[in-house]
Amino acid sequence: MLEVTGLKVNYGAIQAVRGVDFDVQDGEIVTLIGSNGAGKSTIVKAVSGLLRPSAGNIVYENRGLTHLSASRIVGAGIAQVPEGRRIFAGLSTMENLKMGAYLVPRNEQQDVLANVFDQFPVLKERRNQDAATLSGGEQQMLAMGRALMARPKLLLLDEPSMGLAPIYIQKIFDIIKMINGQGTTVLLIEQNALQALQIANRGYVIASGTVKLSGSGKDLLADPAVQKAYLGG
Amino acid sequence: MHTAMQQIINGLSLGSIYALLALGYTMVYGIIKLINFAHGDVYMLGAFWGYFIINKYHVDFIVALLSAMIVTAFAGMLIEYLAYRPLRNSPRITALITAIGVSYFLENGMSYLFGANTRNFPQVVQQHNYTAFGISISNIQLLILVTAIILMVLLQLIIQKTKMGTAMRAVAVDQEAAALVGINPDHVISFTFGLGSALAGAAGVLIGLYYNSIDPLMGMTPGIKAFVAAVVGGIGSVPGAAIGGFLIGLLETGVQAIGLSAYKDAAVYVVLILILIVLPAGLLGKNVKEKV
Repeated sequence: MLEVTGLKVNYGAIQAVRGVDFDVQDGEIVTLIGSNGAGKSTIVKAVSGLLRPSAGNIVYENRGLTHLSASRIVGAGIAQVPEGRRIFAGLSTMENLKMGAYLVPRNEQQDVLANVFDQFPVLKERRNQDAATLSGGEQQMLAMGRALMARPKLLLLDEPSMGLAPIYIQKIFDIIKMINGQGTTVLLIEQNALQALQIANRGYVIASGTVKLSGSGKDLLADPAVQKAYLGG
Repeated sequence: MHTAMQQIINGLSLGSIYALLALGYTMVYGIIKLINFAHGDVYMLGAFWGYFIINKYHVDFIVALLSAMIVTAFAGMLIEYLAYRPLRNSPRITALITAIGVSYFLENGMSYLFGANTRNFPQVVQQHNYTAFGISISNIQLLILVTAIILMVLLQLIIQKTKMGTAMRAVAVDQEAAALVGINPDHVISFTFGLGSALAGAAGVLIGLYYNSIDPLMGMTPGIKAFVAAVVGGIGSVPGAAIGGFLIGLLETGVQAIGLSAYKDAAVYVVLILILIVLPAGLLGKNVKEKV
């Protein structure tokens, strides 16, 4: 479904991603794990069109993405839940969700909205509230609900558990599994390697802008090097 | 008492013109953090369009107003496309200086093409004065006030109730996050310039009716005063710009009424300085720390 080859991304003179290959198959949960500054977020921003790669290819359903704008990539079926949630403060929960469905025809929005409210009942309760007044966990759900409003085939999640209370962290991972169970392919970026590998079909370990290791979620969990570096083992 | 009431009425009609202009400043600032110093010149373009179409085709007030709004909306979008869009990722000071350049270009371009002389704006609405309880109000003052209020209500509806208006607010909060839900920020920014410029064009036709005279440099002082109004109200705040506009209008006529006509402009700038010292975020502005 998504195939990334030889991806390089620079910030000015600094090369943050130096030749990364990975792929995501239809229906999978694939996770990119690694420590802070490893280049994970840079990779996902290149996929969603926020950053232009300096080299390499990103192909989604036989279509090159490297020259499409971020908004066109949403139209192609990829939605991103950005790091730090980035909900629209000052807009109500409902307005945030409606913006998520910006490219969805109006007469189809009701069905999508009902589905999102099913998955996140708290958003329905808070629908008329300014999104800035939601708690951190609720904002994360709003960010996920907003991305789902675009009816993506591929959902990119950038550090969805970051900065959340432990009760929410478990909930967020449960929801990711549920979303995947309903047919959405997921690319998950996480520092929380244990939780991410537990729900992932496959994982890639990113360090210093390259892929260090890859394998099934189970294999990586059992790998001594992964345990030592990322699982506190 | 009568004089005070009279001055309030005069101040409100002048203030509604500043308010229409201030809205454009504040919307553009809200969305791309640019003080568009060419905004006052778009107002001048609106006045010249009104002058042209009324003299040439003898249209009535409504047609002159609406066509001026359409013309200036396109002018504003064109200015954004040609002058500001290529600088989207440049430092803010670059865009600011470019805005000053656009302003000079429009002022001198119009002087070159049509002459720098002042001309009489055709009186498409015959002036009548109504007097009640010793207070006099003209139909033109009423027309200005009512038109401005209708436009402001419409603007508020567009911003709060429509999809494009919601997208404007979303882009103003976080342009990248907006792109990630499928909004094309360029379209929204262009729309914002169009909307703000249409209001400036309307203000230009209204001021033509009110003061009877127009010239290519007519946008300079009102442009700066409307900018002050936007700062007083809290730059980026739409209701703030409307309130700021009315306050500046009232201040200016008030200063004139107590016999200090020569200082009416100075008073506005004193207010700017005071606001920046005492209440830098303005009356309705949010005191947000600059993100680093």
